[in-house]
Amino acid sequence: MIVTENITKFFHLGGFERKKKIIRAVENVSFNIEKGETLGLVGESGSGKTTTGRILLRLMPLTAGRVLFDGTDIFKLNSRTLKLYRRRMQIVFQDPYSSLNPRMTVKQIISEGMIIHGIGTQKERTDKVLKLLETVGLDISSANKYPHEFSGGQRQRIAIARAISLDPEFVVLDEPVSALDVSIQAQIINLLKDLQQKKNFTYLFISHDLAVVRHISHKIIVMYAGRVIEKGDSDNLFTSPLHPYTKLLLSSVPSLKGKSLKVNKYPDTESDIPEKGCAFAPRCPFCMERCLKETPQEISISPFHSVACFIY
Amino acid sequence: MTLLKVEGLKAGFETTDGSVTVVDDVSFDIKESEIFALVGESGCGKSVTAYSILNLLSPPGKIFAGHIFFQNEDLLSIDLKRLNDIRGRKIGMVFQEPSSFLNPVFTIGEQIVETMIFHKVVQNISQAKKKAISFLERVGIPFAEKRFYSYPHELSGGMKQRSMIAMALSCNPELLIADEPTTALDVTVQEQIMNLLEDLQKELKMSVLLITHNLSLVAERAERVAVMYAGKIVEETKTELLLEKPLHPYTQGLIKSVPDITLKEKKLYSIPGVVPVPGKMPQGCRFSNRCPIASDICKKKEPVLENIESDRRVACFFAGEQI
Repeated sequence: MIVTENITKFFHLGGFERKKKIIRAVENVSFNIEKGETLGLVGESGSGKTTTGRILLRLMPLTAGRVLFDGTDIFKLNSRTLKLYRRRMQIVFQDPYSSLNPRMTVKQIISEGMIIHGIGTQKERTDKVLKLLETVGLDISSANKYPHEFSGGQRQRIAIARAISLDPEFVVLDEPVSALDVSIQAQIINLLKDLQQKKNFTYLFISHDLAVVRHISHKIIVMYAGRVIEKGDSDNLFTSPLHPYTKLLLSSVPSLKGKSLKVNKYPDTESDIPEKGCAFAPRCPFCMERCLKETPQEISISPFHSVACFIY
Repeated sequence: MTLLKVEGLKAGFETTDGSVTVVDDVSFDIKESEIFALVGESGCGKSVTAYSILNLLSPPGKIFAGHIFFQNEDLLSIDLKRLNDIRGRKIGMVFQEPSSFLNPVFTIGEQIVETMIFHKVVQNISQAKKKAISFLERVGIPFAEKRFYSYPHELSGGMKQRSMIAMALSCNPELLIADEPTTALDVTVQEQIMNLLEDLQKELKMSVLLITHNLSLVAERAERVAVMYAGKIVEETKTELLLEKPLHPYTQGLIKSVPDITLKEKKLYSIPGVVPVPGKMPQGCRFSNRCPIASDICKKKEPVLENIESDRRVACFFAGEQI
């Protein structure tokens, strides 16, 4: 359904007194997402996961690479045809407090997309809004309320209703549960899973919370400093992580069972990302000389599992 | 020995529509050199509790009633001068978002030195500087001497939090209040910061009040834990006991809804409904409208936090019943 080929995004910083600087937000990222599948994108803040999500929807320009949606390169489309594709792909943002317009009622928020795409009569749109509210588990009396009258979890439901109002095929979920409490988190995850089963949605699920990602994703990509360092199907990746960073990430997740998973070999400092070589090298306990000079390329370990590390 | 004793704390906000109580009759105590955790979802009043301890609630926030005894002195009735001797000196605090609590126009070093000079724990500036650098080193900041001259914006989130910890510890406090110290950080950094706090707690033999929404962070770190819901403590006990056999239905639900990374479940457990808003609490037990085992009595009468066993307090008529 979606194929990305070596997508790369650089941000240029510059100004009067500051030296020109290039931030390599995303570099050579390639993956594909099958129809009806959820791809989990995991990484720390600044690893380029949100940028990747936005590029997939052409919400920002690309420095290099291609994004194919159903075989069509969306960066080659003109604005009119792009609009047709936009209908088929939607996004749910992280912060439900800033992603909903406070001056619009819930009904206006959810029906805005349908109005833009000229779908249905006003009556049909209202019916659809009510149906969507029911689908996402909100009371139909919510339609005429404003976002501030809702809690975080309820707002996220509104954002989901908006995203699915156009019956999209592909939805980018950019940290949809990070701003929510645990008891609410589970409600939203279950809702997203139900919706996927009913409507056969394809998801890109971006999150820094590995436990949550595991519960919703079929395949997972781990990013570090703008590059994909490991990808594989969910079970493989969680049961036998390969890259030292993935191992560190998995062992850092606090568990109710306590600290049994912890590994202590990792240096307890933070450092800048080096200019050349493997970006993880300064934090890696297995760092070799080669890691400081060359950037490791992705190699396949099994048909469903690949890693970018010189150890393998 | 009890270091801090919070008794019948009632705090909230004065609004134009009358006062709203966010923390309602909260009592607990923290012993010497232990980690005590206060766990709850957003809006349950855990941060207001923390701010009340140091009398830091600024208007419209207000403490309506209660006592906070620190080494047998009631922090809510002593004068400001005495209070300032204690805050920062004997009780240190680390906040959730380091970037909004560090002053952007002073270097990290200047801010640490300022604290030590204010509390007169050092004789002169050069001694303060030396001490500040050694604290920066202790909290794991590389090139501490260089970092002493860094401004907050030059540091990453984890580094800023480390600096905050260094600052809070610079006067050798007996109690450290850590309000969601790692919520704004990445997991790998979170792990480092939590380990650091735990090591320092053991080394300096201080007590820590750890406030968090993340129950898993508390496992194996805190000796005792209190769970808050809608402004009240619903359960308080030793951490192992709580995780092993939670008695309150809310605690049970909370533990069940934490996704387990080692398993893949078909459907995650979730507590139905939403947290009630302060000022619009349900009648009787505040959890009754979301509780799967609630009966008539729960909707009429509010359960009190009682001792079930020694060292174990629960506020539920059906404590121990499985949900």
